[in-house]
Amino acid sequence: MGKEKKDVIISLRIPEKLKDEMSKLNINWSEYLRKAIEDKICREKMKMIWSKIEDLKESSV
Amino acid sequence: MIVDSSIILNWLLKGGKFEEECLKLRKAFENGSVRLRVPEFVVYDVCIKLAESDIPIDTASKLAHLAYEYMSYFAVKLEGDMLDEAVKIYRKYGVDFNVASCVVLSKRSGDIYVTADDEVYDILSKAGVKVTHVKDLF
Repeated sequence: MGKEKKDVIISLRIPEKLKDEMSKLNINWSEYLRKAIEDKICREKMKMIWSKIEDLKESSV
Repeated sequence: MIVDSSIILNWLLKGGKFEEECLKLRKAFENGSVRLRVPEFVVYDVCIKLAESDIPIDTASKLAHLAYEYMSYFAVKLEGDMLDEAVKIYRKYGVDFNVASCVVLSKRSGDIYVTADDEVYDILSKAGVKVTHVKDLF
């Protein structure tokens, strides 16, 4: 049996005006933010790996 | 954009003919201004080319490990029918399998295929296959 995926709830503080603007749009904000967070994590992990590659390239000169 | 191992190797090894252009492309990818993908065969081809290179064995093995991890974020597994077509392209044009898989992924996705290999560019462009040389991007 695989490990059950468990969702957790996070909250963030934003200006009231921004919340009003969000409410006017027919967008699934949870889905949008989940995807944005996933993308950001990928990009940051890639940056970390690239930094190690750069170090290795420099040290091999 | 679909990129082959010639682009990735220019990221990893110093002194390549189009190193500057390839690194600009990587920077654009990191900034999010271009989207890059590689067929999974490119990942293995890069590891093979690193193993065959004349850089010290410890550096080559560490680079292969890191390159594998890096490319895992944008590597694409090809479906059976795409491999079918890649074999035909490999035979028809006499190019590396990693190149053939890039041609197929490019055709199926509509993304442009970019290479830093002069010979691959000449063979494919003369045959009428859509391919862009990295030097023409900047």
